[in-house]
Amino acid sequence: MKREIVHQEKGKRIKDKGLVFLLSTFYFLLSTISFATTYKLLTLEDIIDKTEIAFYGEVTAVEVEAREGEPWTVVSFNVTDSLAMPDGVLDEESEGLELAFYGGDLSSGQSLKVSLMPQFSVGESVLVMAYNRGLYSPIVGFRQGLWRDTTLGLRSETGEFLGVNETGGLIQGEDAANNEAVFEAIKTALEGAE
Amino acid sequence: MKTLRFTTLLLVTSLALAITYRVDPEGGPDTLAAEVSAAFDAWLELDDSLELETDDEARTVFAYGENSLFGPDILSLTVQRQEPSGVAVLLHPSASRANTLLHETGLILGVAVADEGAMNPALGDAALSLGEIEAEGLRQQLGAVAEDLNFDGEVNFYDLVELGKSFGQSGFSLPADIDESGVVDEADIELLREAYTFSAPSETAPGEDDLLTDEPTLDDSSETGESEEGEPTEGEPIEGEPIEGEESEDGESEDGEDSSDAEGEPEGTSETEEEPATEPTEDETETPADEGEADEGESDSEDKENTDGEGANDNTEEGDPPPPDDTPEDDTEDNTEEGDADST
Repeated sequence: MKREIVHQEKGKRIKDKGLVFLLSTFYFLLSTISFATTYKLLTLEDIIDKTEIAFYGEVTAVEVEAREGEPWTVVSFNVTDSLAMPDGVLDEESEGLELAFYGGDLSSGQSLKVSLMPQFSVGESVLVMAYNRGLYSPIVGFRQGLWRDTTLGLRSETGEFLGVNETGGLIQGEDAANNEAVFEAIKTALEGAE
Repeated sequence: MKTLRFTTLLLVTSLALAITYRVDPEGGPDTLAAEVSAAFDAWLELDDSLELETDDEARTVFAYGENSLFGPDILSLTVQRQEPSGVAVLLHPSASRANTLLHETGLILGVAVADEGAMNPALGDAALSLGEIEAEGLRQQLGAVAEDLNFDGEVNFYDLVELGKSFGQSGFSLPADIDESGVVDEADIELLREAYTFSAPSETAPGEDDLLTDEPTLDDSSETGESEEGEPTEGEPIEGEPIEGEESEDGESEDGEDSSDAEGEPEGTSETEEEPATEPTEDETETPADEGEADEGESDSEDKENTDGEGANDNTEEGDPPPPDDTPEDDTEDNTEEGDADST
């Protein structure tokens, strides 16, 4: 009797596993499909030239709101180092500003994800070079004007670090410089680009 | 049942690598359909076994985005919507789209993003054409299992290194995002770990071989083509000709079956959770190294902590004991074969 039950249970499990296998195979096929956004490849000089807003700050809030029925992620920053800031962008009182990025998950359940769109976490510190206008991503070069502050230095989304060369010029590569030196180099480069 | 039928239909479609898409030229030049078709044709020249067709109901759509929102740098956005579900490639209406479409169509065919050539999302101004790099990418896509991140035919330490490099990154195009949650996170490590467990070390201890041959039935059946359901496949020679049901009496068969089943589900199905509890394996060589590397990967990317938890449902619980794995070499072969079968 016990053996019969074992066999019945086993048969059921095999059926279940057949379904599981089918679903997992399908999932595997889906998982091999990948997508990406495309953008123009910019040099560091290009990024500097295009930059309208540049700052180093901490992410204080990440909220998703509906704009014309589409989710947009609004990221709030507390700016600690303002490197280029047009009038009216920075809230002088709170020293904060907001940037909106297309996509996100609304509480209503509506979800829209944009491939490679920069994601932010509250509490992280970032260096941002951005346009002063509403775009799908306001970051210069879609995501190329964004560096996250890591223990190793300011790191781009593609893993390169901001550094400073022997003459104090801004460079991007494997070697990082301390933040203050980088900020100084950015200010100099931005002034030169004006 | 309906769901199952639908899934099966999609599965069959996917197995044939038939890509169905549609084009919506509203909001830009009406040459879009021809441009998309030309881009797909370029890929077809690399592999004419691909099947492409347009369908007004297709969930993958090429369309124009809002011109003013692209700015000077963005060329296309790949957008995944939940409701209605589907993928939209939003193209810049007034920018050159030839390079972009080569890239986007390649991705829809499943070719991974690369650092160079048409599969690099950062596009230069020079006109691109598909060459050996892209052909290789396509071959890899058609032949590799998801966890084989470096496409060397094995899921091992080097794949873990690859995963560590991109840990914390987000996007739909990341090869290390094994569960396609949009983020390379712990769930992907877990999936890699599961696959990794089945990847055999190249050498086995001298005595181990004898030990394995003492238990030829389960492992051999697994090696020689036992299907995921635990049923031996037809025509495959099985040493000892064991019958699963009969073996269950000694208790080992169940374990063996579970082991092979777990291997059959490497792609992040939570159902694997039910499998492993039977017996934690002595997988000394692989699991500790795996976990150690995982930690390394995390620390490397501590700067970016993603809160997107989509992959959570695909994740097995942390701390799950590794699935039974008495015969790692057998498992590897089994797993690899299956991956190949799945992807073709």
